[in-house]
This record gives sequence, C-alpha cells and structure tokens, in this order.
Amino acid sequence: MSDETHFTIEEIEPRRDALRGLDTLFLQDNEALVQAYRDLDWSNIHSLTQMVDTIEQTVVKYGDPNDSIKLALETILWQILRKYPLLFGFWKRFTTIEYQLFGLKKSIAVLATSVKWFPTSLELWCDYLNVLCVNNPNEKDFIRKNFQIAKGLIGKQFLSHPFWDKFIEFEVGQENWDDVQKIYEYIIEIPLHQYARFFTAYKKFLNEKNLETTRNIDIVLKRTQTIVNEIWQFESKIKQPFFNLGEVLNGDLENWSKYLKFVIDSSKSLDKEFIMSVFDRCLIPCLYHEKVWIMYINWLTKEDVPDEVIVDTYQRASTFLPLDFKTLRYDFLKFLKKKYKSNNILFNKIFNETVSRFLKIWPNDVSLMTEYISMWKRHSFKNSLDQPPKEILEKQTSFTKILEASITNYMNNQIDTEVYLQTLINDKNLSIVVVELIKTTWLVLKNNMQTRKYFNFYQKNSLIKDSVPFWLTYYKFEKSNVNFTKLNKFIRQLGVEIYLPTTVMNDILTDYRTFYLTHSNIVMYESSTTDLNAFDPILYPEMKISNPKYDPIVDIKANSERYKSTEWKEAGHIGIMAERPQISNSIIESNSGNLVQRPLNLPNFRNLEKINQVKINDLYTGEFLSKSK
Amino acid sequence: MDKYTTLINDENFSTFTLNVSRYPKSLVYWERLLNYIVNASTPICKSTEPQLLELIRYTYSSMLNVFPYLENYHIDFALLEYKLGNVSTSHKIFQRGLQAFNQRSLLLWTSYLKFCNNVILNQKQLFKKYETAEKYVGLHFFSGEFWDLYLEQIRSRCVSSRRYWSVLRKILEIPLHSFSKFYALWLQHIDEVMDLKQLSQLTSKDELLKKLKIDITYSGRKGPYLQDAKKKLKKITKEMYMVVQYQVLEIYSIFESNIYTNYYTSPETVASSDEIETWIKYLDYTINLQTDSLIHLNFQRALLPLAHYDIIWIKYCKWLIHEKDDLVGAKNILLTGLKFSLKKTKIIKLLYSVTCKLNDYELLRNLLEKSDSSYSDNIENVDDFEIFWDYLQFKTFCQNSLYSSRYSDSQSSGLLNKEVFDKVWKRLSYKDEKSGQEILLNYLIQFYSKDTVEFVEKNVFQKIIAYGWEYYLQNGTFWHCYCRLVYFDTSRSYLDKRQYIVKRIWPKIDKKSAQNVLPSLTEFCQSYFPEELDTLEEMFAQEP
Repeated sequence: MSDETHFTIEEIEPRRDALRGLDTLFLQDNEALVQAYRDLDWSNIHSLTQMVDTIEQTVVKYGDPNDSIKLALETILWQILRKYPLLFGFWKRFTTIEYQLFGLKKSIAVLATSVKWFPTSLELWCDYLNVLCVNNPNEKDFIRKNFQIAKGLIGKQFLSHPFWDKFIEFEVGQENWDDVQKIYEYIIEIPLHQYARFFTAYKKFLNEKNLETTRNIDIVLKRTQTIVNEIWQFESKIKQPFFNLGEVLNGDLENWSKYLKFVIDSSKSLDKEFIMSVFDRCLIPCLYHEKVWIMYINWLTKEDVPDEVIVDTYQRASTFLPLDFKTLRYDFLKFLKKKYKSNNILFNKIFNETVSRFLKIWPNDVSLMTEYISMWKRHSFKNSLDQPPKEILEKQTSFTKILEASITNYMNNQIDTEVYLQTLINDKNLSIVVVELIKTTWLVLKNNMQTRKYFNFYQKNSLIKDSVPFWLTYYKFEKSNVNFTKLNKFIRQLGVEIYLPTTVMNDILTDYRTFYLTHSNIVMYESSTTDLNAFDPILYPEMKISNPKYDPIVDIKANSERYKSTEWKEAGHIGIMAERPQISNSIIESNSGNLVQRPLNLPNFRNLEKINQVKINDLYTGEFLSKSK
Repeated sequence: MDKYTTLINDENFSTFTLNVSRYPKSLVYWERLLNYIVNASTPICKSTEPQLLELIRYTYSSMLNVFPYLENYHIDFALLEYKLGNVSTSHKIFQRGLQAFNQRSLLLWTSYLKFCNNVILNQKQLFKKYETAEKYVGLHFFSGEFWDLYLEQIRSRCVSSRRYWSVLRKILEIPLHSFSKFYALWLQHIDEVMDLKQLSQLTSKDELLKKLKIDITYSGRKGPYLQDAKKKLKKITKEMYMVVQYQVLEIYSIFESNIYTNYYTSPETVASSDEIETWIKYLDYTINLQTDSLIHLNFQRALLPLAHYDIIWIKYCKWLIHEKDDLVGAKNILLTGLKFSLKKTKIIKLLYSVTCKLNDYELLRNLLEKSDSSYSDNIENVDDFEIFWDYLQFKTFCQNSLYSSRYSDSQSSGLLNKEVFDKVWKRLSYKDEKSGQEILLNYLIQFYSKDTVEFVEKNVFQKIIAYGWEYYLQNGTFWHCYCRLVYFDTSRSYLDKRQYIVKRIWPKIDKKSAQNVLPSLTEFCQSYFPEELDTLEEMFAQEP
C-alpha cells in the first residue's frame, strides 16, 4: 500500500459547523441537506439516519462535487461517528460515500479507521479484510498482520465463522498448509455457532493433505459441543446484538446478565479470551450500562490480567458512559490509588490526568480536589517516620508553602501552569485547598496563631464564605480549644451570616449542644446568660434546628407590620399572594365587659378594594413555560 | 339485696372492673364499666342508694383523671350532680373540667353557661362568667352558639340596650362559621332604630359625624335624615361583612373543612396524617394572625384530637418560647405534654433545655432522676438511644457543676465523671445489642487535654481491646475514633502522634478484620497523613 494508508479521517478537524464556508448557491440548492443538518437531533437514530440519507442523495446528485463540499459531507459523517463510533452501518455507508467521492484508497482508509474506533466489530473487520484481500492481494504480510490483530479482537466471538472462513481462504490461497492446520487447531476449541462445519472441514483437510494431529480431535469436539449447547440458551435469545440509540430491550438485558454470570462462573472454567469476547459483545448494545462495565472490570481484576488492560477498560468506560455515572469513574480513582505503590510514576501520572479530566466533567465535585491533594502529598512530599524529624517537617512546611502560594495565585488570577495543582483549582474547590492549608498548619505545624489568622483571612473571601468543609474545620478547631465565646458566636452566625445547608447546620447545632453540656457547667452557663437576651447555648441550638433564620429576640417592628410580609400574604399557599382584607382597628380582642364602658369606634378597613383581586405569582407560566420555549 | 350489693356481686361487673384495672389506658373498658354501672342504677335520683351514688361518682372521677380531655363526660358528671340537687358540686365539676383545658373548651363552656343561666340569679355574677368564657373561647370558629346564649341573656336581663349593641358589634368582627346570622340581627336592629339619638349606642357622636357625616343633634326634618343615616350605616356594615366573609371563607375552605375530628378520641386511635397536616398549617396560619387568645385557643383545639402526638405540644412550646418569651408557660405545656404524648423523647429533650434556661436545676435533677428510675435506675438499658443520650448530656452538665468547684482533676469532668462514665461503659458493653455505640465513642474522644485523652484511651479503647470485643475490633469507626483521639490530643507533637498511631495503634488491629476496618482507616490516613498510605496498605496487604 502506498502512503495514503497513513491517511485517516481522524485528520479531519471536527469543526462545530460542518457547513461553514460553503457556497451560498450550493446551500440554497440543497435545502434538504442544510435543514437535516441544522435540525439534527443527536439522540434520535432516525434523525441521524435521515442525515446520512441526505448526504448520499447529495453525492448521487453531484457525482463529483468540489473539495469544500466533499469536506463538508465527510465532516458531518465524521461528527456522527466520533460521537457514536459503534454505529457500524454508518461506517459502511461512510466507506461507500468516500469511495464515490474520492475513490478506493480513501474508502479503505475509512475502513481501517473504523476497526480502530470500533475494534470489536466483527462485520467491520470482515469488510476491511475482504477489501484488503481483493484489492491488495500482494500485500501479504500486511494482510496477515491484520488477520492476526482481528483474531485477537473478534476471533472468539460466537458468530465469527465468516472471519475464520476468510482467514482460512487466505492461507489456503498461499498454500500455507502448516498455517492452515494451526488455524484449524485454534478454531476447534472455540465455541462457535458453526463449530461442526469447521470440524468436518478440518477432518477433510487432514485427509486430503495426509496430515496428522497430535491429539484426539474427537475429544475436543465433544468438549466444544458441550459448551456450544450450554451457551446456545443465551445466544439464541439475543434479539439486538448491535448498538442503537435508546433503551436496550429488557429481555435482552436480562439475558445478557444471565449469560455473563454463566460465563464467569469459575466452575465452568471457560477460556478467558472467550469470556472477554462475550463481555465485548455485550458492551456493544449495552455500551451505556455502567453495571456491565463494572462487572467486566471486577472480573478482569479477579483474573489477574495485566494492569494495562484494566486501565484501558476503565478509560474506555469513562469515555463512553454518560456523564452522570459516577461509580465506575470513582472506582477508577480507587484502583489507581491502590496500584500507586506498584509503579509510582506511571500511576501518579494517570491519576493526575484522570482527576483533571473528571474535573472538566464535574467542576462542582469538590471531592476530586481532596483526592488530588492526598495523592499529591503522598507522591511529591514523600516522607517516612524513619527519616530524621527535621526532614519530615521540612516536607510539611514546603507543602504548606505551595498550598498557600497556589491559593494566593488563584485569588489574584495569576495561575502558574507549572504547578499542576493550580491548573485544577476552581471556584468550587478552592476551599478544599484552603482547608488543607489550615489543617496542616493547625495539626501538623501546630501553629494556632497562624491557623486563626488563616481562618480570619479566608472567611472574608466570597468563595470560601459558604464552604462546608471550611466551617466544619473552624468548628472543630474552636472545639479543640474549648473556646465557648467563639463557638457561641459561630453558632449564632449560622443561617444569619454564614449560610450552610440546613442538614449540615442541624448536625452542628445538635453536636454543639452536646459539646456544651458535656464541657460546661451551671456556673459557666449562668454567667454567660445573665443578660436576658444573651445567647443561650442549650436552648437556642434546639430552637434553631431546621429553622435556620431563628433569632431569639423577637423583632417588635416586624411583628406590627406582619401583614406586609410574604408569609402573611400567602397564608400557606406558596406563590399565591393575596392582599387580604382586614379590619385595622379590630375590637375582637377586647372583652365585652370593657367594651360597654365607652362608645366603640367604627371599623377601618385595609385592602377592602382588593377583595376580588388575588395576585398570583404564577411561576409556572412566568418562568417554566417561557424558559422551555 | 339492694342494688349496690347486686351490682358488685354481678359477674359482668367484675369482668368490667378487672378489664379496667388491667388496661387502665383503654377507653373502651372504662366506657363499658361506666355504662354498666349507670344502667344498673337507673333511675338515678335523690333516693338512689348512697353507696351506689358513691360508686358512680368514683368511677366518673377516676375515668376523668385518666382521660381529662373527655369533654362529654365532664358534662354528664356535672349534670348528674345537678340532677341530684348538688349545685355547688356541679359548679366544681364544670370548673375542674375547664381547668383541664386551661379554660379553653367551647363545649364545656356552653354547657356550663346553660347551667349557670338556670342557677345564677345575680346578673353581675352571671355576666362575669360570660365575660370569662368570652375571653377564652369567644374567638372559636364555632362559637356562634356561645354568642347566641350571651345575647339572649343580655336581652332578657338588661334594661339598657348598650351592652347588647356592644357585644353584637364585637361579634360582627369575629370570623365565625355562623357569621351571617349576626349580621342579619344587626341590620334588623338598625332598621328598628326610631330615633337619631339611639345611634349613639353604636358609636361615638364624633365618629358618626367624622366618618359618616351623621349629626345626631340634627335639628331639621328628622325622618328622611334618619333614613339617610341608616343607609350609610348599612353601607359600612356591608363593607365589614365583605371583609369578615373573606376571612371566614378562607379559614373554612383551607382548614376547617378538612378537620373532621373535633373531639378527644383515645390513645389507641390513630389520627389521619392529612388532619395532622391541616392542623399544623392551620396553627401556622393562626400564629401569623397574631391574635394571642386565638392562638392559644387553636392550640388547645388541636390538642383535643392530637393530644397523644408530640408534635402539637412541641409546636405550642416553641411558639411560647419564641414569640411570647414565656418560658414558664412553655415548661407547663411540656409537663402536660409529657403526660399525654405517647412519644416522649422529643418533649423531654426540650423540657431539659427549658428548665436549664429557667435556671430551675431542682426540676432538672428531678426529671433526670425520674427518667433514670423509670428504667429502674438503669437508663442505659433503654432501647431508644436518644432518651439515654439526652439523659446523659444533662446529667453530665449537672455533675460538672457539682464537682467543678471542689475538684479540678479532669477525670471528674464531662462524660468521664464516675457516675456518668459507669453508665457509658455499661452501655458500651452491650455492644451490638444496643444502638448508638458509635455516637458514644465519637463524643468520648472530644476531650483534648493530656490527662483526659489518657483516661479515655486507658478506660475505653485499651479496655475494649483487652476484652477482645469483636463488635468494636472489627468496626472501622472504633479504630477511626481511636486514631482521632490521639491525633487531636493538643499536648502531643505531630511526629509523636503520627508515630504513635502508625507504630502503636495500627499493629493492634487484627489482619483478619482488615476488610471491615481498612476503609475508615484509609479515610483517616488520607485526610491526615497520606504519606503513610503505603505503610497502611503494606500492613494489611492480603496474603496471596
């Protein structure tokens, strides 16, 4: 093959707008194409299919369009396949389109790319190998190399007989009888749908060529037959073996789950590669099913396969799985942490890259920063108790220095990309870095003065102000100092100046009452609550639970104007505000005994004129409907 | 044989009495017993045997003692005495009944007033009663009947119509279920006014002049002028009607129409969650209106069907504390609630706090003692951890105060005080049989000075290790707590703490329990010294 084999469509830049830069006349003439592209619904297979239909029609219409049109068309296809590389039908159509537009070589290149992006596709491999054999019969080594690759990837699939036929045909064509025998020897152990045919063919082959076998192949036959019979109950029930958008059929899911459980059952002691091929096939329709991936990885781990295989599987899974699946991705981090010891540099590198990638998916997930810092300290500030104390403390000091510098840089918007940590900090997880700095200063360097300075300094920052870990650390710090003055102040500020989630606040309030009761006494309590309005550390937290805005001092002004408050106007019907009519000089609280004493005033009214206008704060039409437009 | 002897020798009677003594909290048995006795004694009159009467009286008062919220039985009892001619006893029974409701029972008041109408001749005394009733139940949504009674008595007993006008005028403003009836009365009376001067009974001269431009000293032709004045008065009445109608409809449609049980049931009856929900919202609504007597009244109303739920008692108490700053009232509500409510944990918890705030430590100690003694002095055996835990906290608080002045050594402080610590240790020794062990451990490590840390380590952690209590030794939290105890010891240096944890604590962990323990140890390690993760992993590496 010439240089062009090195061309792959991966070189096409996946532009956002594939139609950009096209001739306006062309766009006007091909409204259907433009329309299909503009209205493309990425989650709808019909919409995607229609897009490809339109492309084909355009190709037919123009025969040999100009380069920019060609580029636009293949860009669209490439966009679709980059997103859904498992749509093998689309690869096939892409190949044909490329053939029509550019000719044979580029269409072969598309097939070469297809098996790279969808390596477990039996169909694509057969197509590719077929095309290679037909069009480049002289490139024998190249073809054989590809047969070997395909063998490893799809050779154990239950329906892989077309591939084996091709392979045998190829080697027969070369009159490579040794190799042919080797292939047969290999095949007869695989539980193939058409295993019997291969046995017959093998026997015939042996006879014709007068060759001997080193083992009794009838025994092998029996074994293979048993396995095929056993797995047939599952294989026969697979209704949709290919990838599609939308839900996988429930029956299929159940069947796959049973099938997988069957093959990994260690008492069956099935061939490892065969098991992997079942997983690979299952993960074609079930690509988006986290559970299957996890099951696969758990099995791989148990089978003691090389770490690279597991890492690769994790990475593939985390590329394909929808972004809201967290379990597997977090398992990956755990796995990397566990493996760290076996190869510090490699796993630290993968770990950092992974954290960085996850942070792009979930910028709000602060635990990633916690994970990173812990790994970073473990890797870059390695120290052990066997070292002299001075060295250990030096490491700790330099750790805090970098932490502080990174925080300062981030706050001043001067990120130093040389420090990996700084590339990971964002508004959400900055507080985690701050907390780490404080924790180290307080508990490791044991510098209480500096710790308090940090607390005072950082709580003024708007990014830290509402951080749960920051305030929990503060709370722990003051508890360890048994500083009730500071603690009381903190508890009082909760919900009023410091906004934390109510559940967290409830936990703090409950904990604080306990802490106070177990660490204080009546004398202290009484002296701290001499003023009637003073903060009461026993009753107050209790009243404040689930009532974050609770303030022990009743605001008299607010009470007298309560009829102006939202609660009053809503009267329990949230969102429906009514200026409810009232008698403003009501006498209902005066007793008749007193009423008799002097003449009564006539009633004055409030909101009488609004009696029939109920103001509805209609969130549904106001916000929801207008937004969904 | 007399009726009494027949009755007490009756087989049914003994069954009923036995049932009552066996299940004193079961209302059905009480009712059966009472009905049986009453039926057996009919007709009850002055000539009924005194022993029999005593038995009836005794049964009534015992039953009302157990179920003070049975409005109807208070009334039956009082009327029975009335029938027997014991008017002053009747008064007492009615009054005792009202006391059980803090005077806020509409049913009792109307019955009592009907009774008073017959027996009190002194007009002043009678109206005093009405005024008291008005104060407590006058704003009740269904108090129309009460107001009817009141107006009727005024009409029949008063010569001047001034009181009548004032009372009726007040009723007009109350959102009552039967509000329109009173408006009809009012309009009718206005129609009946024959003289301009009479209008001064409605309001002051100035008001009439200022707001309605009616001059009652008008000297021109009075006939048409009066007609005109009446028109003006009707107009303002109509406006008032609109306002009150709005309020009544609001209350009725949102709340009252969803409340079906307006009477006491029994501890065995389950209230529907919808109704509880409605009451909660109704009370919030009422609190918003800020009419204190109505708020009290509605709380009391809610307590009638929901007396055995803690939620209303607590809400009532919190309102008193927060909006009224009435701690004594709150305390009383909680003490009553403690008797009624089936679930007591939350009420006791709040009560402890309120007594502290009142500085009533005498009561606090009493309560604590009672709590302990209700579990035969072994409160640590209770299944509900919260009861034990609240007890423990306040007990500690009291104990701290006892010893703080006399001893300064730390072992008498906090949960480590001997009396408290004994209970803590006993509780811990129940292992997985009781809940809350992890919470206990978690608080035991919140002492940060050198000697307290030593005490806890020696008397809790090392002791448990020495005893080999699997429940803890296989529990990650136990080891996590142990590590934190040491790590937060303010007297140790960083290296000392780290060394101690890694070289002294970790080796004590049985490798067999690694599976259970490792996750929380890893979490600890990762958060305080990730440098030792390698050591941790090596230590617990599974043998191949």
